[in-house]
Amino acid sequence: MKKLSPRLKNIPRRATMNALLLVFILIYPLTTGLYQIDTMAKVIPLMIFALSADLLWGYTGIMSLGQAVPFGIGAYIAAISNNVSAGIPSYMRTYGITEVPAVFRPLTNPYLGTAFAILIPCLLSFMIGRLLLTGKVRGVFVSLITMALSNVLMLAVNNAQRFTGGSNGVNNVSRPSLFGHILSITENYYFVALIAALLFAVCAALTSTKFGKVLGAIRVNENRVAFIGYNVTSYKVFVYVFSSALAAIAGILYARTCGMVSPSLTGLRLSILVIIWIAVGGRGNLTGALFGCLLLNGMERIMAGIIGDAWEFVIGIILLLIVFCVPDGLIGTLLTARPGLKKKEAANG
Amino acid sequence: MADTILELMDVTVDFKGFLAVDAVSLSVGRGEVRTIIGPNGAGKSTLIDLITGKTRLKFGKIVFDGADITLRPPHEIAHAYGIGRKFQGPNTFFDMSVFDNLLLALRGSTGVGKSIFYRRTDDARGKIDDILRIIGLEDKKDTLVSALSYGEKQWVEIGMVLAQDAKLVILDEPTTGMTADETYKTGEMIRAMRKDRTIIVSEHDMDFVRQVAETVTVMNQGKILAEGTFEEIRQNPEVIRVYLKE
Repeated sequence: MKKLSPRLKNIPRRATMNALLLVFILIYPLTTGLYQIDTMAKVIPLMIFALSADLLWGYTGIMSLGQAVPFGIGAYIAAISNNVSAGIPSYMRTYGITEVPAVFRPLTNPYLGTAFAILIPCLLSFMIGRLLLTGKVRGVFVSLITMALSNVLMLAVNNAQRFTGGSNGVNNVSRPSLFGHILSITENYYFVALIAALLFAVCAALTSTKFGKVLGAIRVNENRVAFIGYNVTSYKVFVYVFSSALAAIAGILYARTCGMVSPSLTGLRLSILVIIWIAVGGRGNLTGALFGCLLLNGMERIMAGIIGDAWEFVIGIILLLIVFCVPDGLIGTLLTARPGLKKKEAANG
Repeated sequence: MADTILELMDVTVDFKGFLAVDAVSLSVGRGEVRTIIGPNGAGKSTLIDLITGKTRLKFGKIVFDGADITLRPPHEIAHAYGIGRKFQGPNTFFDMSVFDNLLLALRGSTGVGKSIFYRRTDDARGKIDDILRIIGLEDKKDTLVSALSYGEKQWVEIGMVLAQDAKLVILDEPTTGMTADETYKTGEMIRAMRKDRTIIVSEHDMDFVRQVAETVTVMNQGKILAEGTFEEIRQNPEVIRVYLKE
């Protein structure tokens, strides 16, 4: 009985937080206007993005600073697909392009476009993963290489103006359509929230399996995992590709909700921001990533109106405070701080 | 010793000109308990790294149970061929429970797909309970490894090697940092686990070597200096000169 009670106390905590978050997301549109609903619908895909980075960094210990690569590619392919399915995009016309370029022709079919928006980032991550995650490159060097990838992609997107619209990006992207009907702002909000909830459930299920334990084992002691017979590289590559798929889906939803994409979606800034959200919320429990993302994005949207660019300083200060004062993150600390437990465990042990 | 399970043929490891293991040939019989002793830097750990695939050899060949395992990757040597290893000093998953450490080490289902759809069977539970009994940590199975004493952590790792159900178990200085009492208990564990396994132990503690050893191999400066029973080794003048002089 003694052993059971602390566990029972623990389980509802995380479930309660998830439930609170779900209720908040469900009732939020009832409490506010369309503008806020649309703003929130842009934050929810970022929460999916945060989940993807938490699987990679929080669970497996791979700190990629290139998570915006699959996100950005997914967003761009979705945006371009949406544009070319309606004819020649205006930015292409300014370069004298009169028909859809051959590489984009498959994207004129919106379903194929969505499929490619997920598959191409996965394929790219598979190739990067096979090269990068073999165990020869580790820790901070993985971060540095993925960081370079982020920058390379952003440069490429900026320079391939004929195809990507350069620094102007791709505009006039419509909200998702279901059964031939383009979703309204509120419908899109619930659509995005539904996908986020499903993906969260998948992540939660995945991390609760033995697979999830192996990821945690890789994080704390990669060598040992290999010596008990696991092919560490294939685990890392799998989680890298899976998290890229999540990031790509997040990118698609983000592009379709915002109505436009720009090169910043592929760059280092977003890759670093997602790490900060997770650090603030707490890594390795999914819930922390969601709260960190919601909290910082909510604050950003409120504060930017008041203090403008000074928000960038504030976020830096917040990060420093978190790292020094609550290294487990806000949610991480709440989940592990169970006052009654330590005494009981001491009494038992 | 008609049936050889492990055979090293002229293996050499070259660390940029320094021959950590220098043309060593060694054969270990099935079901044997082999102890490797030698001064620090003699090449004991490197030899173990070599067998388990951590270090790559420059020359030579390693045959295990009829199969050539030379230059195979560690996870394959562990899983497909069945060689388990305990590292020097506790090497576990410290932020997991003792039970989870053993569960992860349990033989079978190491592939990505299999571990996603893994369901714990009663059989697996039974095996883990058996191991917990052997390593004497039945009442600590839900404790985080980080909360255990140094000796207990060592036992968790011995338990992990047992869970792997390896044909050959290699223990690299398993009693480091243990009290005399814990060392003795560890010796008894090794005697208990040998029934259907071959065991190689590298060790410093001579009392412990006396307790577990059948054949002792003495290494010095990357080479094999002598091989024989504990008594033979203890009286070998060469061995006394380089290693047992105190």
